[in-house]
Amino acid sequence: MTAIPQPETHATSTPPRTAPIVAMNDIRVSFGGVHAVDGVSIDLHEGEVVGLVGGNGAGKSTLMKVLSGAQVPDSGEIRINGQRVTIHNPRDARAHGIETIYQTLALADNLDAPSNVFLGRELVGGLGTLDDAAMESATRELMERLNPRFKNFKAAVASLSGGQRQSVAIARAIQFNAQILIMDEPTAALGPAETAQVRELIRQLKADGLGIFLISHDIHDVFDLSDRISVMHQGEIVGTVERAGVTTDQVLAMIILGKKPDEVTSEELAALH
Amino acid sequence: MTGSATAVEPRGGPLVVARVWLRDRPLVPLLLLLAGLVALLEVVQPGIVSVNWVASTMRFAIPLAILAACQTMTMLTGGIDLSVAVVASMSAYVMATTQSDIGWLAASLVALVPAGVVGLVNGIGVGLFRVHPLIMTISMSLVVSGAVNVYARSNITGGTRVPSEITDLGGQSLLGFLPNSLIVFIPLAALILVALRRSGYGRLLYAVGDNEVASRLAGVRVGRVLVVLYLISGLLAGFAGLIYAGVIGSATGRLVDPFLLPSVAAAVIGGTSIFGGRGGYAGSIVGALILTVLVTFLNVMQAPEAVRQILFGAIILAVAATYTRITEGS
Repeated sequence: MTAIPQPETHATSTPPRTAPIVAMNDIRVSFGGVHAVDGVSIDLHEGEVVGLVGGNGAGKSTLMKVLSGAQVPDSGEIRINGQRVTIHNPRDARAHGIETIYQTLALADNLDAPSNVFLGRELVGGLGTLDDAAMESATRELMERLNPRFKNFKAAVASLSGGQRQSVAIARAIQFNAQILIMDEPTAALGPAETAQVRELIRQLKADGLGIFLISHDIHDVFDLSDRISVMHQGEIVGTVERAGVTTDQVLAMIILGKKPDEVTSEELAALH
Repeated sequence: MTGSATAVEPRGGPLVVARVWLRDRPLVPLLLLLAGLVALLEVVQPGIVSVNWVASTMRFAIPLAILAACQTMTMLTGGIDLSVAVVASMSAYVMATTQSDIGWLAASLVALVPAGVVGLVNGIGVGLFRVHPLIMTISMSLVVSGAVNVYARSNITGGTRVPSEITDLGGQSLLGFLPNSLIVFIPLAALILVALRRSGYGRLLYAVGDNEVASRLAGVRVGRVLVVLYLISGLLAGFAGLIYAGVIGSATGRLVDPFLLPSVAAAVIGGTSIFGGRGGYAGSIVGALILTVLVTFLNVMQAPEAVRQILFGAIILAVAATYTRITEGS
């Protein structure tokens, strides 16, 4: 699998416009005097991948931390399936079906895959003891779906490849029926083959009906996977565009100049090349 | 691409195979070392290794092994509890000074209260206020030493005595070779072993020490886990102090203080990583036995105290370094 954009049918590029599963309205986060996220509104539908791009410090990670409960916003509203919710910590987010795959692959390295998948919500049998067999078989079932080539259920995850570790992180996220997945640079730490593997995984999760926010520096990832692309610049959304309706150059211009394609002059565009 | 970076297959010469074999069975080299030390002791001082000697070694090793449990569990989370020795001394002293008024059992329970309080304060400091465990527990041991001194001065008239029930438990043996303290130690050790390996809480200790951020993001209440952990550590330390008072038959405010380094060393020799996430209690028990035999060994050599101290420190370092090399993963 290479990064060459593939022809897509119209049906897959435009998801059904049902009510959004996530709607974040006018979210604001500031650190001291810095407006990291400055009145951002963004939404996500079932079975949709929304790519979130922007330069370093554009506010995309902070925005997603608000949704995952790692950052409490100063103001703004979050609606999940139309219901207004408050998210103060990762547990609240989880209760609303929101799971996050972190850039740094937040795994406990010395534990095996099943222990990581069930970290913090271990299955227990009689007498309150861990039910390792049940955790392993549930993990096997998940992996059968996610990554059938994954076989190392007993090994510490430190000994797994980057792609396999990413599979474990994703398995943990969807173990408890996540509806909404936030992926922060899911391929940043991976080689080409593993990147392809993770992209395949993302397509599969999308086909399963999950809504996915994809934060990425890799414009090819974003173009390959997203239905819509939201560009952030200095804490604000420059614009949200249909993937099918823009070129990579237009999106790059939005990232760098912080302007929508129709506001960019041809001189500015030319200066980028 | 998948399946390539799997667990390392044993490959190469017999030395490599042996290393891999040992890495998967970390207790074997420890037990070999223990057996070797006992054999060496018998060579140096023929006739010393007897049924009686075994019983006495176990009696001394048991309080150390309980203190090593405190270190093992806190070290699994990447922490350490350097207040255990002082807390143990405090509990022994409180028990010995109150037993004449309220009886041995009530005095023992009362003695565990300040131990639990110190553990709780440690836990709140480490778990909720994010004070580094080293700073937290060293500071607390100063506070506790001072408090014990104040208590000792207010208690001049009382005097200390370790009741016979406690000395029977700590210092006597069943049928001449089974220390009575095994009656409490075996269930306690079994509970700790099972809890670390098979309980959700035990798994969380490993996970927190392995990657605290990941645990937090996975929804683990890390603060709560640590508060409970240091509370348990304080209570176990107090309990170890009571047993050791029984072994010695008397109690002062500094009775157990010299056990601080050995408690850490037993856990380290036993293969628990001070950086967290790796290790277990079985190794620490063997570590406690090794250190106790080592002390006997240095004693029978009749070396001056200074030489014994140097040897004790050097041997602990050598064993910890060697053992870590053997059991370290690829």
